[in-house]
Amino acid sequence: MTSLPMPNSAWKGRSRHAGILTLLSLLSVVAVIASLGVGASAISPGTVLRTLLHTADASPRDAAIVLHLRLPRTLLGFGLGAALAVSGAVMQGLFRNPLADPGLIGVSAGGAMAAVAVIVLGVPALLAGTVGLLALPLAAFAGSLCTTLAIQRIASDDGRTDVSTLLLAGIAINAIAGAVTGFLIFGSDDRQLRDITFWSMGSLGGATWTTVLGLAPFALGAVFAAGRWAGVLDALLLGEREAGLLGFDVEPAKRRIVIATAAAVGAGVAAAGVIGFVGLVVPHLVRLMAGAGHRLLLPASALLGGTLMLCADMLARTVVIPAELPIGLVTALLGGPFFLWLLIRQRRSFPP
Amino acid sequence: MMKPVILLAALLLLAPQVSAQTFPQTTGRIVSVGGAVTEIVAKLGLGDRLVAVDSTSLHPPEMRALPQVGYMRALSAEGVAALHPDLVLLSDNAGPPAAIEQMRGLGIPLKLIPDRPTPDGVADKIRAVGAALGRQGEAETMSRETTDRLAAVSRVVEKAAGRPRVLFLMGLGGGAPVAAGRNTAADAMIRLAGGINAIDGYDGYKPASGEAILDAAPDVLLLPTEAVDAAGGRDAVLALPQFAGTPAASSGRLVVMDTLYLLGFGPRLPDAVADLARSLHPELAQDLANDAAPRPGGLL
Amino acid sequence: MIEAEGVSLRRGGRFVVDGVSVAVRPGTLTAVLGPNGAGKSSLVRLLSGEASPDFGKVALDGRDLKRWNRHDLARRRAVLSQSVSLTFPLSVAEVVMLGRAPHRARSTRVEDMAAAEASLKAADVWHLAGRAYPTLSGGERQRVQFARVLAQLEDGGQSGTRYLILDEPTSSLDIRHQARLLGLAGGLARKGWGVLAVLHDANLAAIHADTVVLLRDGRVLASGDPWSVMTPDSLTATFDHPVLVSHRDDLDRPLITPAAGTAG
Repeated sequence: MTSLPMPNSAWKGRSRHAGILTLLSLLSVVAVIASLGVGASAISPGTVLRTLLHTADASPRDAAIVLHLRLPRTLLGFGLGAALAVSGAVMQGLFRNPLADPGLIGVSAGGAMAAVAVIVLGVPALLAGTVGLLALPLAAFAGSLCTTLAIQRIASDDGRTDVSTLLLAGIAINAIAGAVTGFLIFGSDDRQLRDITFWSMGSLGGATWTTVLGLAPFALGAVFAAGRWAGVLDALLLGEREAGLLGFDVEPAKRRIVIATAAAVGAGVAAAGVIGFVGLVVPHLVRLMAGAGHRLLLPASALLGGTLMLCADMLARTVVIPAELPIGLVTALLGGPFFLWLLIRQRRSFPP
Repeated sequence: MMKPVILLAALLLLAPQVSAQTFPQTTGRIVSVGGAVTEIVAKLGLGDRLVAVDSTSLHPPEMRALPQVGYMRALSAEGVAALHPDLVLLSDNAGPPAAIEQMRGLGIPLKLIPDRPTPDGVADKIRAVGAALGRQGEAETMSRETTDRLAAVSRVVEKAAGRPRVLFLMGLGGGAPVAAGRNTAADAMIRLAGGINAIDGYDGYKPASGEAILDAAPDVLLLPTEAVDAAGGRDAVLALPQFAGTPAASSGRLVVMDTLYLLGFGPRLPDAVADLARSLHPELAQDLANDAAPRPGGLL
Repeated sequence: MIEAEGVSLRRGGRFVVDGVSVAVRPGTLTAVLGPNGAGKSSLVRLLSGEASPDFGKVALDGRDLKRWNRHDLARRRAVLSQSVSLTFPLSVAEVVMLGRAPHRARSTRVEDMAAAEASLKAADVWHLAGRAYPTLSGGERQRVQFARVLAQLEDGGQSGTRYLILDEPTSSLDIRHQARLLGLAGGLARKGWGVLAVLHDANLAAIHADTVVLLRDGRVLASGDPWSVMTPDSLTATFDHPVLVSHRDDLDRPLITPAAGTAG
């Protein structure tokens, strides 16, 4: 019973899983170290290390750059990359659609609408100061969650959520949110317009300990919660009916998945604006290496998502020193062509 | 992860003390953000101290050769820090707020310069930059001259026989052209130069339909140089169907000016107003040359 | 025994199942026959617990289906649906392993793999184990899903009678695999499982079933052993088409032949 003569390695063995996860973990560690060491200011790797280990003999300025700018930025970047990639994987599983991404359930459009409203309408004078600085992320987060809850509500009838209605409601609400955003933009002045443009291209430049500590719970919460849903997501690959017949309570699982995704991606939108393609592309990359089973797909997507996000951010902040590129440009520029390649490849292997 | 967090909290508490530095008079490295701010720095004779500027700092032309910190509302804290500036002059339009907070946290000496598109705003700007750079005396003179010359231009403009209706268009690219409404820098300039903004139905810059343009009945079209170049020159612009039937098109009155010069509200404001006034009121050219010219010995 | 007592199910303002009493008995292969729209799939949903009856009740081993824990239920009954598509390229082995989900908390991976292996072999898809599911033919997919359903119920004989519900399990299969699948289902019934199969082909029902239920317009027209139920009259009434029933000496089951031409 213990030695099974399986044909052509049908079982993706535990050891292979462990191998892939180890490799990705190593890559993540390298990316984190590189991200802490790279930037507009030339700070030697030794100084970075000593600063982190608190045996600080670095100049206060270098220490501040490492601890105040790069560390929160790196943590935020890794966390968001992981959250976006896991959310993408989960959405693709839930919708049984390889082209699904978290944007489908209105997270990005709702967050953008709220963020643009804050940019254009301004922050009430009452909230000026620190709260004023956080008004944009808070509003974006609230906007993301509310939009998704509205879509979920519309698609639910008598406790059952119809996934195709969810998709269609998402499209409609996305369009409405887009129109409201458009109206707000129409009423904006030149400077607000520029702010909106840059915000919508995404940036990790605003990372502070406040944003990291405020948003990390949502991102990490979603990543770890998703790990617990690997079983039901696997079963959902067969369809909702089969998942139910296999003993899974599909309805609450669907609701929780949608809400956790909204929280994670909403946190991302709040912290860094709209960063596309990570959620779409990373799960596909992982499936190419490791197959579609969620037990491996989810953790591997988290690690690879974090790693790629940090790589994109390193590019974003070093190619035009001392300025920086919006990170959304970098992810779209790298992710877009890859996604096209994936589409063409898929059409060749499974003609419609 | 705990240690850095604690250390950071300590740094946050200490940060304000670090930033209380004074700007060295002769050797300081300056980063300037904001087109008008940079112009003032250069006019004060400190252009050689600039180590980087933002992408709106296009004048004087040699500024374009300096390293770029990017668009003024999309700054990177570490990028600025890497330049080791002794002083960062920031138009108060600069952003994003998070990056400015981060720069403060790093102890980079920052000076926010009030940046309003009004004649008084220009004087304030000049004084603020002068104070930040320890050039109060020169700045005071420059600001007073600017105010005086603007007043002189205004006196001449008041003599103008009529007030032409002026339509400012930001560009002519695809779709409806974007026109300046109320409460815009263009609106202020048109008024200073003795014109009336042909658009008074809305605030800010908005796309204007062909009918709205016809309705506005502009006597003069005012366009940025780039827009006219992109459209293929003066004649091509005047022949555009959007303008057919407007008084401006039939009389061929098109004024073309550099955007930063026209809308920058920097130290060149009196010249820009005088230039625009000359185009709107050709009959005043002589008076403007006599009464509102820069004084030979002046700073300007 | 899964027992439905006078169950009715209303959908879109009409009863698609209307006062039906059916039992899936241990040791018995029950076939459900009926024309399109007779309510066969709705009956499957009621018997599996996916749908709750508007009237009547369905019980498994005496306990109302509504009161079963989902995981316990999933270890006791499995349903082979008409078709299952997959968007993502899971391997056949992975698909079959999905059937082990209800056991995950209590069985080891080695046990799960052994159960999956046995099921793959039983369904004659062992040689496909490493293939990507989306690359399979329709018939191969149906057999893989059958293997998955078998794996779901594989439990070392620990937890009482298992019930297997097959909704048109042979629709995409060739003659050999039709016989093989229903033969295997019959074998499981003789092992003590309760099996119910919705079938399109009356002859397959006649050959493999111990009990035949004729369903029309959501009602049971007849039920019992093949010889007593599958008479020309009852089959003609069920399908609204003239049907001949004959006998062969080398076969102790009725042989059903639809008459040519259109129904009068």
